[in-house]
Amino acid sequence: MSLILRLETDDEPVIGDPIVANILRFNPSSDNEPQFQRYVIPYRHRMSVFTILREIYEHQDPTLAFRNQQCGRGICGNCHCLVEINGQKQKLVKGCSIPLKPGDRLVIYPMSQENLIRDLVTTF
Amino acid sequence: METDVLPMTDIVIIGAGGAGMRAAIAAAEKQVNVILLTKGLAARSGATPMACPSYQAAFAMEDERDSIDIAFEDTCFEGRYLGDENLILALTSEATERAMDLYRYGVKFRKKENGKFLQIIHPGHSFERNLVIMGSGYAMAARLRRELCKYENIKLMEDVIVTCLLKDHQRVAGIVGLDMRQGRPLVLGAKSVILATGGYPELWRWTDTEPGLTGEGVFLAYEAGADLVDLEMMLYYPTGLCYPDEVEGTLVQYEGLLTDKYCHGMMLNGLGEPFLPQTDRLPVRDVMMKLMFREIEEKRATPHGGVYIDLRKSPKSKDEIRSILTRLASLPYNQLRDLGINVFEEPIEVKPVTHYTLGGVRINEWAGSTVPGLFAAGEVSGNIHGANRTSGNALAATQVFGKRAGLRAAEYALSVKNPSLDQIEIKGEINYLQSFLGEHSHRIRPIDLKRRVKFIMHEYVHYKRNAQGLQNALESLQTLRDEFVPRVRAVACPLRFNYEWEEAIESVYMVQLAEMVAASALAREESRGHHCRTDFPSMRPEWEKHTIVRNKGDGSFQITNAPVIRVKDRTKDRRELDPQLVEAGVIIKNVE
Repeated sequence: MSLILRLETDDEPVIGDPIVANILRFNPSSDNEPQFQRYVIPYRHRMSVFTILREIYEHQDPTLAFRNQQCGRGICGNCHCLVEINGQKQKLVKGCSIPLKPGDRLVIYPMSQENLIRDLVTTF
Repeated sequence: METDVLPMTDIVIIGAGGAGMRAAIAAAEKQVNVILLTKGLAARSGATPMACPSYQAAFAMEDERDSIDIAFEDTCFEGRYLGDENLILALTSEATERAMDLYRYGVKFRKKENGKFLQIIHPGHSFERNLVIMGSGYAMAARLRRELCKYENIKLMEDVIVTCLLKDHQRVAGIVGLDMRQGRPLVLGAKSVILATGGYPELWRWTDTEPGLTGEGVFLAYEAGADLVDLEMMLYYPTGLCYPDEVEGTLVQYEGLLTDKYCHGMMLNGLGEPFLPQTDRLPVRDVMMKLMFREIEEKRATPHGGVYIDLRKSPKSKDEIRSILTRLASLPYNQLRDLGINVFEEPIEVKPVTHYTLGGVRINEWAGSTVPGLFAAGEVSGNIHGANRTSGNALAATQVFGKRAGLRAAEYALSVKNPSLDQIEIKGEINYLQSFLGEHSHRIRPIDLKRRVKFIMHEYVHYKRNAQGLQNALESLQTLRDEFVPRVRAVACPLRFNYEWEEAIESVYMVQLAEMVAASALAREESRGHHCRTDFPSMRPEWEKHTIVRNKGDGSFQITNAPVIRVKDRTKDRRELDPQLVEAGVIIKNVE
């Protein structure tokens, strides 16, 4: 888990089309209903569903809630979420194990609507 | 600011990894009330769930020549005689009983056809000694979590970061924290507190650990007046993946991948040449990482800055290797396959990464710190392993010292009255937490502060250090403390699960802890284990002592020394270094 905190990220060249992600956001303590928010993430290095969430948090929107603290190697399951990639059927995935290609279009939902804390964060 | 104040309890345990959960069970068995707090999710965050499957315990089921005494000697020697021997004695003599506790909780150890536990040999073990946990650290943590749910007197609270230990005169009195789910501070009085918060590998740039291991437990102990010990000792695990990007930093077990008895792969530099010394035993971690860094530094690295592990060069068949990989869980085979990497068709690129904090809170053999009522168990504690740790002793230490901490904390809690809480101190801490949400015209994002700390530590406090670089680090960190820390702000809303708020707290503690680490590294004028001073390249007998960081109470700290506690007479009873490794030039014998 070191790539996500490197100093020089901003200067890296773009190596492919950006990834577009629509993410379902909801704060049960203040919102009436969930809403999608659209993010465009430049493609600078290989990325997974989890690392694009980190990119958004680091460079675009620190209010996006997801479980930052996770293992990054397919063990802990903290990055579980429901994802549609390029219009394909929604699947429950481990975010760190789903590699993304340049230009991929995603829709990301929390793992479940029950026990939702905020955005993509749920209890287990 | 709206704050939750919970009723006084007997014991608060901070951290729900292997040590924290084991401590909770031990305390609950003594009929005291326990509140177990964790920054993430129990059994899904922190170090234990990401741990390798290795648990060291001298059962001697594979080779009956093994014994607790040999395990004790191995641990003392491989720790370069810097571990306190009373702690090592506790560790090696109780690791077997604690393994059987895990077994009773439902943890499955891999067995052989004869029904005995499989025990495997890793570098630094005289005989086959590591148990292999089926499902690795994740399964161990999951079983501990299931076990603690059986106790009505344990209350688990997740997504809580503790930010301050409260004191009542000399003794510990409770905690203040931030409840992420509620988005507000939490106050909790307690007769006793156990720290089981893990280490601080996150202070560095290349690490294989979970991002939560930022070390605030160590800093909280210091603030409460507890001694810290050997903070300069950060263990580098030799083989973290440096490609593909998605899994950079993921640990693969070089022991299983390279040992001829197991996968028998080869380690090669970027030019495709073997470079490990031709010994009959694979080097232990402090030696291995230095050999690898030498290839990388001398421009013989792979395209992504590491060295290769090549399983294609193994004399064993694919099927044989596949079955060993499954049995020993040496690498995340399935995940690499999902990411398009087939380890049978291409070599993997690896480099050394910060892995385990050898230093930390100074404890006695019952896990007690120097503050009454405050205990520490697991990686947060500092004087067990010494200057290097052999494989399997981390998980064993969580269980041995977790149980010891739980028992002693319970005894302590039963013997004292409720502490009184200082309302002014509490109000001050809540105001401090709230201050991170205010406006600032030149706001520093917590993540930027973290990046800067990592940059400084990587540049000047990496495994190779010298006085000039460490002075630079101290000056840079002091600049961060004076000019950046006061400007750290998180987004002000929403309050609920505001991760930037949590990061703000972590980042400020990281700056101060990093200063202590750099100062400890500057104080130790020798090279030992994972601490390599280019200006003091040899291991010096007069430095066979601890560096201690102590709070002076005026906002600064002092560095002193303390003798290593001995069980044996090491002027006579001492193993000599492997001459082949001395010849390889990575351990320099004292010449003075």
